Amino acid sequence: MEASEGASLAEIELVYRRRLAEFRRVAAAIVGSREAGRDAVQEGFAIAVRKRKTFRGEGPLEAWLWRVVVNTARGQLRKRTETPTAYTAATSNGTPEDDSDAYVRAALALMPERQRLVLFLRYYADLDYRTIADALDIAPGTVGVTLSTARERLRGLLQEIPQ
Amino acid sequence: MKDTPVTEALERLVAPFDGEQGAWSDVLARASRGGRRRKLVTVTVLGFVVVAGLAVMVPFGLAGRIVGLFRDEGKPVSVASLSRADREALIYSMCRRVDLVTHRGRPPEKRCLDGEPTIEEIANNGTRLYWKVSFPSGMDCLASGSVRGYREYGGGRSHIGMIGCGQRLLPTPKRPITVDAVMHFKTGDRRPRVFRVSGLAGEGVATVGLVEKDGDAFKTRVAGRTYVFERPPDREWTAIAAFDDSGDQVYRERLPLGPWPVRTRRRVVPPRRRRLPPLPKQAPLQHAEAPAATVDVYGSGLVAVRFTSTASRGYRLVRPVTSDPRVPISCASVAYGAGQWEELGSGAYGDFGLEMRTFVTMARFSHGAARPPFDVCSVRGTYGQRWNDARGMHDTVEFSFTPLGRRFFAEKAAARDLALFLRTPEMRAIRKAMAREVPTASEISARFPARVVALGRRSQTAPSPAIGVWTDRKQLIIVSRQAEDGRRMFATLRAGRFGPHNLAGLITLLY
Repeated sequence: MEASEGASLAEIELVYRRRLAEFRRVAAAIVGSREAGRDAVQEGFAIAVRKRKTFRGEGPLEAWLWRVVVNTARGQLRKRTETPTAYTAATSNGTPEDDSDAYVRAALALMPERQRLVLFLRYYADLDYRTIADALDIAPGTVGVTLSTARERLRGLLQEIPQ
Repeated sequence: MKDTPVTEALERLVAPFDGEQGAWSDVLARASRGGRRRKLVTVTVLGFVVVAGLAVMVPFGLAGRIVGLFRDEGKPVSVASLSRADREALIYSMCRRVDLVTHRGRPPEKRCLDGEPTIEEIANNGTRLYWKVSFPSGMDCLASGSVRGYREYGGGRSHIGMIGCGQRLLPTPKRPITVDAVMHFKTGDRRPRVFRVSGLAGEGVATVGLVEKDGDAFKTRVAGRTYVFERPPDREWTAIAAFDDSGDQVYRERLPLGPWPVRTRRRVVPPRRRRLPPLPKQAPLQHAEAPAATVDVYGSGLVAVRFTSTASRGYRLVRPVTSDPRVPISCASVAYGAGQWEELGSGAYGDFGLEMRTFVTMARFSHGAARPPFDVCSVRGTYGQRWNDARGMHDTVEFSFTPLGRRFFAEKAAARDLALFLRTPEMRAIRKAMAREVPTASEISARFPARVVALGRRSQTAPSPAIGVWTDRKQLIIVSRQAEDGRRMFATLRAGRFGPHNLAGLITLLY
């Protein structure tokens, strides 16, 4: 397959319109706030639009867009929190409904970032292993193992924590 | 892919964004703004070059300069050179995963599995030092303290008195000084008084001043890139300001030292009894039994202690004497090597009852704490311990999961016996008088119950549970006793001070 030179604006817009809800949900999960998640998606797509010429067509456009949005969200999270352990406090906006999920957030924060991202992309966006692998720049074979480990770990943590 | 608990948790965590409209035009606008931002950055960089150029020209009297620049590099501080207390503060308390390691022929030590931080001394004015501590996680902290150090209980000195992490740790052109203020209150006084204000100062800051309401400043010079006001005059300081060498104010920051609300004496309400945490579905990781009590430890850090009878000694001793229902439950991993113990513990309060449950460590949430599996767990009563009291020298309820744990408890009880013996009023009086005279072993034992016996040789040990005393009648007193596992525990007093002993890691000797 010949690699294409860049993505068109229309193609990016199409993915944006079709999959916006999933993009926002994944981004919100990464940064820990719905508003920041919306912003991360807007910013991520803006970056994709600016850098669309660099898309080499070695994988699906959607996977490339996922990579850009995920990286943007991760960058925003880094700006919001100083350390991974600060994730809990930084991502809770203090409302009572957030408090009920504080333990889930804390549990997720304790997992390696890759496991967390694989979980989000699989559960919130229902991406296949290939797309997840492209989005996170990891081997497709790693996705299944990572996902299984992440599920196991989160399940264990949730059982340990008094709800 | 059905995994109900995980799916439910994730569903609950972030609700779907279904039905929301996108804003493609905003994406395009942001994309175009990004281009402009690059241009702006270029302009800013050019501007910076101009400003930097002007700063270089300052000595030639051509322009102003940038105040507050701070190079956060300095002299490396070796982690191996840190005192035990500094290591505890800077490494283990900040470490997510700590374990114990033993090397043949060496005392055991704690190890941070996250990796060790890099420490640099970035400022030192001869009395206060500042260390930048960079952790492997990427987090930077600033630790400050006394160059001379603080004396620690049980010997040794530490240097670190304060640690701050996160933002605003170092001076910047926008904020050319950092401010660490220590305040204190006098009884009945609503106004806090400044005990000490110290901090780092960036380039170009020559003096720092505490500013009063009328604008008068009480100044101190910057030395070694730091400033310090040690017990400044008691005035109503409203701000702190930085001045350059010509005396011009280059920065000012408000000091929040206004009157504090009057504190009214409130009735102390004891904590309410909490619901017992549910037991996990999995089998416990560890189980142990003690007289009239059992313990189960779960992988999550949940510890469940059950008394088999309300008439048992343990139950009666643990029962709190006040309306506060909490009793301390603790667990630990221990290690032994080269005659020395090291303990990595974690503990929490559990509400008193026939069954008590508490998370001694919140799974992987605790920094610097032990995690299951443990070597020992114990429940202590809320009473204090005195030497030779009827409750004995062991913790109220002790659970050992390993042979090492059994040895630990045995030797700890003997160590506590000796440490409390040395703190008895009689022994303190003897210790204070050692400069003038050292009594004979018989004279010492005569001042105590029959359990304290005089020894004829310094290496001799009295049979358990007796405490043996030997003196050279000049300057040395040795107290010893045999632990239940047969080991000879001892401590020495030389000219009124604690000398060599083998109680380290078990108990702290206090004067």
